[in-house]
Amino acid sequence: MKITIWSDFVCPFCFIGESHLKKALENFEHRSEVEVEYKSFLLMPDAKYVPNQGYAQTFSEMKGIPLEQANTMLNQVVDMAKDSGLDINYNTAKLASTNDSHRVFQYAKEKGLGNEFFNRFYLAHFTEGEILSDSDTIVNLAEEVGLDSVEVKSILQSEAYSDKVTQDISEARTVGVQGVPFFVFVNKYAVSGAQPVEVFSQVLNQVWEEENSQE
Amino acid sequence: MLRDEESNSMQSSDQKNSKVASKGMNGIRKIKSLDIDTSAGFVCDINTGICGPIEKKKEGK
Repeated sequence: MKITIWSDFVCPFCFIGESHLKKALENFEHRSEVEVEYKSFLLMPDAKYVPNQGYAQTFSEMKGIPLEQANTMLNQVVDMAKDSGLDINYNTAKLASTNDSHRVFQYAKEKGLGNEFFNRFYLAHFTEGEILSDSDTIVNLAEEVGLDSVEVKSILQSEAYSDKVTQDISEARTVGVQGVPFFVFVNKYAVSGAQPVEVFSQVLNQVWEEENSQE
Repeated sequence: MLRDEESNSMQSSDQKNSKVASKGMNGIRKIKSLDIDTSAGFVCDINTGICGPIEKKKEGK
Protein backbone atom coordinates (compact mmCIF):
# COMPACT_ATOMS: atom_id res chain seq x y z
CA MET A 1 0.00 0.00 0.00
CA LYS A 2 1.51 3.27 -1.08
CA ILE A 3 0.99 6.49 0.90
CA THR A 4 2.00 9.79 -0.68
CA ILE A 5 2.40 12.77 1.65
CA TRP A 6 2.71 16.42 0.62
CA SER A 7 4.43 18.26 3.38
CA ASP A 8 6.84 20.99 4.41
CA PHE A 9 9.49 20.85 7.13
CA VAL A 10 8.01 23.93 8.84
CA CYS A 11 4.40 22.68 8.77
CA PRO A 12 3.52 21.78 12.36
CA PHE A 13 0.44 19.75 11.50
CA CYS A 14 2.52 17.77 9.02
CA PHE A 15 4.91 16.87 11.85
CA ILE A 16 2.00 16.02 14.16
CA GLY A 17 -0.13 14.28 11.52
CA GLU A 18 2.67 12.06 10.37
CA SER A 19 3.39 11.00 13.95
CA HIS A 20 -0.27 9.96 14.18
CA LEU A 21 -0.02 8.04 10.93
CA LYS A 22 3.08 6.27 12.21
CA LYS A 23 1.27 5.28 15.40
CA ALA A 24 -1.64 3.95 13.35
CA LEU A 25 0.82 1.99 11.21
CA GLU A 26 2.35 0.36 14.29
CA ASN A 27 -0.97 -1.39 14.88
CA PHE A 28 -1.78 -2.03 11.22
CA GLU A 29 -1.66 -5.70 10.38
CA HIS A 30 -0.23 -5.12 6.89
CA ARG A 31 2.30 -2.44 7.87
CA SER A 32 5.16 -4.34 6.25
CA GLU A 33 3.45 -3.74 2.91
CA VAL A 34 3.17 0.02 3.38
CA GLU A 35 5.45 2.38 1.45
CA VAL A 36 5.62 6.07 2.16
CA GLU A 37 6.70 8.75 -0.27
CA TYR A 38 7.08 12.40 0.69
CA LYS A 39 6.49 15.20 -1.77
CA SER A 40 7.66 18.78 -1.47
CA PHE A 41 5.43 21.65 -0.58
CA LEU A 42 6.53 25.21 0.24
CA LEU A 43 4.10 26.44 2.83
CA MET A 44 5.81 29.80 3.22
CA PRO A 45 7.85 30.37 0.06
CA ASP A 46 8.38 34.02 0.95
CA ALA A 47 9.74 33.31 4.42
CA LYS A 48 12.98 35.02 5.35
CA TYR A 49 14.95 34.44 8.51
CA VAL A 50 15.06 37.56 10.66
CA PRO A 51 17.84 37.29 13.25
CA ASN A 52 17.01 38.23 16.83
CA GLN A 53 13.28 38.23 16.21
CA GLY A 54 10.85 35.74 17.69
CA TYR A 55 8.99 33.18 15.56
CA ALA A 56 5.56 34.63 16.35
CA GLN A 57 6.68 38.15 15.49
CA THR A 58 8.16 37.05 12.16
CA PHE A 59 5.08 34.97 11.35
CA SER A 60 2.75 37.80 12.30
CA GLU A 61 4.57 40.31 10.09
CA MET A 62 4.88 37.90 7.17
CA LYS A 63 1.22 36.90 7.20
CA GLY A 64 -0.17 40.28 8.19
CA ILE A 65 -1.99 38.93 11.22
CA PRO A 66 -1.99 40.34 14.76
CA LEU A 67 0.82 39.11 17.00
CA GLU A 68 -1.76 37.87 19.48
CA GLN A 69 -3.36 35.63 16.82
CA ALA A 70 0.05 34.27 15.85
CA ASN A 71 0.85 33.49 19.49
CA THR A 72 -2.53 31.78 20.00
CA MET A 73 -1.99 29.64 16.91
CA LEU A 74 1.54 28.65 17.91
CA ASN A 75 0.54 27.86 21.50
CA GLN A 76 -2.26 25.63 20.24
CA VAL A 77 0.23 23.81 18.03
CA VAL A 78 2.69 23.32 20.92
CA ASP A 79 -0.08 21.86 23.11
CA MET A 80 -1.23 19.50 20.37
CA ALA A 81 2.33 18.37 19.72
CA LYS A 82 2.80 17.69 23.43
CA ASP A 83 -0.35 15.55 23.44
CA SER A 84 1.18 13.57 20.56
CA GLY A 85 4.49 13.11 22.38
CA LEU A 86 6.34 15.60 20.18
CA ASP A 87 8.47 18.54 21.21
CA ILE A 88 7.82 21.76 19.29
CA ASN A 89 9.72 24.71 20.72
CA TYR A 90 8.80 28.04 19.12
CA ASN A 91 11.06 29.86 21.58
CA THR A 92 14.06 28.50 19.67
CA ALA A 93 12.58 27.65 16.23
CA LYS A 94 13.60 29.86 13.32
CA LEU A 95 11.19 30.75 10.55
CA ALA A 96 13.04 30.63 7.23
CA SER A 97 12.62 29.60 3.62
CA THR A 98 12.72 25.84 3.06
CA ASN A 99 13.28 26.04 -0.67
CA ASP A 100 16.95 24.98 -0.58
CA SER A 101 16.20 22.23 1.92
CA HIS A 102 13.54 20.88 -0.42
CA ARG A 103 15.95 20.88 -3.36
CA VAL A 104 18.35 18.75 -1.34
CA PHE A 105 15.42 16.60 -0.19
CA GLN A 106 14.75 15.77 -3.84
CA TYR A 107 18.35 14.66 -4.17
CA ALA A 108 17.91 12.59 -0.98
CA LYS A 109 14.88 10.90 -2.56
CA GLU A 110 16.98 9.90 -5.52
CA LYS A 111 19.45 8.33 -3.13
CA GLY A 112 16.71 6.43 -1.27
CA LEU A 113 16.98 8.67 1.81
CA GLY A 114 13.93 10.90 1.38
CA ASN A 115 12.02 9.70 4.42
CA GLU A 116 15.05 9.90 6.70
CA PHE A 117 15.73 13.39 5.36
CA PHE A 118 12.20 14.57 6.09
CA ASN A 119 12.21 13.24 9.64
CA ARG A 120 15.61 14.77 10.37
CA PHE A 121 14.59 18.19 9.06
CA TYR A 122 11.36 18.20 11.06
CA LEU A 123 13.34 17.72 14.25
CA ALA A 124 15.94 20.27 13.20
CA HIS A 125 13.25 22.90 12.73
CA PHE A 126 10.76 22.20 15.48
CA THR A 127 12.99 20.91 18.25
CA GLU A 128 16.55 22.01 17.62
CA GLY A 129 16.05 25.58 16.38
CA GLU A 130 18.06 25.13 13.19
CA ILE A 131 17.80 27.60 10.31
CA LEU A 132 16.67 25.55 7.31
CA SER A 133 17.71 28.21 4.80
CA ASP A 134 21.31 28.18 6.00
CA SER A 135 23.61 26.30 3.63
CA ASP A 136 26.03 25.03 6.30
CA THR A 137 23.10 23.76 8.37
CA ILE A 138 21.60 21.95 5.37
CA VAL A 139 24.96 20.37 4.53
CA ASN A 140 25.48 19.17 8.11
CA LEU A 141 21.99 17.74 8.44
CA ALA A 142 22.15 16.11 5.01
CA GLU A 143 25.47 14.54 5.96
CA GLU A 144 23.86 13.13 9.12
CA VAL A 145 21.21 11.52 6.95
CA GLY A 146 23.94 9.90 4.87
CA LEU A 147 24.27 12.22 1.88
CA ASP A 148 27.54 13.26 0.32
CA SER A 149 28.43 16.77 1.52
CA VAL A 150 30.31 17.69 -1.66
CA GLU A 151 27.26 16.82 -3.77
CA VAL A 152 24.96 18.72 -1.41
CA LYS A 153 27.17 21.83 -1.54
CA SER A 154 27.15 21.66 -5.30
CA ILE A 155 23.35 21.48 -5.35
CA LEU A 156 23.10 24.46 -3.02
CA GLN A 157 25.40 26.52 -5.22
CA SER A 158 23.17 25.89 -8.23
CA GLU A 159 19.47 25.73 -8.97
CA ALA A 160 19.54 21.94 -9.22
CA TYR A 161 16.35 20.09 -8.32
CA SER A 162 14.21 23.26 -8.44
CA ASP A 163 12.23 21.64 -11.23
CA LYS A 164 11.40 18.63 -9.06
CA VAL A 165 10.22 20.84 -6.20
CA THR A 166 8.07 22.83 -8.61
CA GLN A 167 6.69 19.63 -10.11
CA ASP A 168 5.59 18.35 -6.68
CA ILE A 169 3.88 21.64 -5.90
CA SER A 170 2.06 21.83 -9.21
CA GLU A 171 0.97 18.23 -8.80
CA ALA A 172 -0.48 19.17 -5.42
CA ARG A 173 -2.47 21.95 -7.04
CA THR A 174 -3.62 19.63 -9.81
CA VAL A 175 -5.12 17.17 -7.35
CA GLY A 176 -6.81 20.00 -5.45
CA VAL A 177 -4.72 20.13 -2.30
CA GLN A 178 -6.03 22.93 -0.08
CA GLY A 179 -3.90 22.33 2.95
CA VAL A 180 -0.95 20.30 4.18
CA PRO A 181 -0.31 17.67 5.28
CA PHE A 182 -2.15 15.93 2.48
CA PHE A 183 -2.16 12.16 2.30
CA VAL A 184 -3.04 10.09 -0.75
CA PHE A 185 -3.44 6.36 -0.28
CA VAL A 186 -2.72 4.05 -3.22
CA ASN A 187 -2.86 7.05 -5.59
CA LYS A 188 -6.62 7.13 -5.10
CA TYR A 189 -7.94 8.05 -1.68
CA ALA A 190 -7.25 11.46 -0.17
CA VAL A 191 -7.10 12.45 3.48
CA SER A 192 -6.38 16.05 4.37
CA GLY A 193 -4.81 17.25 7.58
CA ALA A 194 -3.41 15.93 10.83
CA GLN A 195 -6.01 13.37 11.79
CA PRO A 196 -6.31 11.48 15.06
CA VAL A 197 -4.58 8.10 15.19
CA GLU A 198 -7.97 6.33 15.13
CA VAL A 199 -8.92 8.03 11.86
CA PHE A 200 -5.68 6.93 10.22
CA SER A 201 -6.30 3.40 11.50
CA GLN A 202 -9.78 3.46 9.94
CA VAL A 203 -8.39 4.77 6.66
CA LEU A 204 -5.65 2.14 6.51
CA ASN A 205 -8.12 -0.67 7.11
CA GLN A 206 -10.72 0.67 4.71
CA VAL A 207 -8.25 1.27 1.89
CA TRP A 208 -6.75 -2.15 2.41
CA GLU A 209 -10.17 -3.79 2.25
CA GLU A 210 -11.28 -1.85 -0.80
CA GLU A 211 -8.08 -2.51 -2.68
CA ASN A 212 -8.01 -6.18 -1.91
CA SER A 213 -11.71 -6.81 -2.50
CA GLN A 214 -11.25 -5.51 -6.07
CA GLU A 215 -8.71 -8.17 -6.89
CA MET B 1 14.80 7.86 19.55
CA LEU B 2 11.54 8.73 17.90
CA ARG B 3 13.19 8.75 14.50
CA ASP B 4 14.40 5.20 14.88
CA GLU B 5 10.95 3.99 15.78
CA GLU B 6 9.46 5.91 12.89
CA SER B 7 11.93 4.52 10.41
CA ASN B 8 11.06 1.01 11.47
CA SER B 9 7.35 1.48 11.02
CA MET B 10 7.54 3.01 7.57
CA GLN B 11 9.16 1.52 4.56
CA SER B 12 10.81 3.94 2.18
CA SER B 13 9.47 4.02 -1.33
CA ASP B 14 12.34 6.08 -2.61
CA GLN B 15 13.87 3.17 -4.45
CA LYS B 16 10.71 2.98 -6.54
CA ASN B 17 10.37 6.67 -7.24
CA SER B 18 11.13 6.49 -10.90
CA LYS B 19 8.29 4.03 -11.41
CA VAL B 20 5.92 6.19 -9.38
CA ALA B 21 6.97 9.36 -11.16
CA SER B 22 6.23 7.88 -14.55
CA LYS B 23 2.62 7.17 -13.66
CA GLY B 24 2.28 9.53 -10.67
CA MET B 25 0.07 12.38 -11.79
CA ASN B 26 -2.28 10.32 -13.90
CA GLY B 27 -2.86 7.94 -11.03
CA ILE B 28 -3.49 10.59 -8.41
CA ARG B 29 -5.93 12.52 -10.57
CA LYS B 30 -8.53 9.84 -9.96
CA ILE B 31 -8.76 10.93 -6.38
CA LYS B 32 -11.61 9.82 -4.15
CA SER B 33 -12.80 10.71 -0.68
CA LEU B 34 -13.29 7.99 1.88
CA ASP B 35 -16.50 7.72 3.83
CA ILE B 36 -14.71 8.55 7.05
CA ASP B 37 -15.23 11.62 9.23
CA THR B 38 -12.07 13.74 8.96
CA SER B 39 -13.52 16.90 10.44
CA ALA B 40 -11.36 16.56 13.56
CA GLY B 41 -8.23 17.20 11.50
CA PHE B 42 -5.92 20.19 11.42
CA VAL B 43 -4.21 21.67 8.38
CA CYS B 44 -1.98 24.48 7.28
CA ASP B 45 -3.70 26.36 4.46
CA ILE B 46 -1.54 26.36 1.35
CA ASN B 47 -2.68 29.82 0.29
CA THR B 48 -2.36 31.67 3.58
CA GLY B 49 0.07 29.49 5.54
CA ILE B 50 -2.28 29.80 8.52
CA CYS B 51 -2.75 26.60 10.49
CA GLY B 52 -5.93 25.50 12.22
CA PRO B 53 -8.90 23.12 12.21
CA ILE B 54 -10.15 21.82 8.87
CA GLU B 55 -13.06 23.83 7.57
CA LYS B 56 -16.08 21.82 6.46
CA LYS B 57 -16.22 23.57 3.10
CA LYS B 58 -12.75 22.27 2.24
CA GLU B 59 -13.64 18.65 2.67
CA GLY B 60 -14.72 16.26 0.00
CA LYS B 61 -12.72 17.81 -2.80
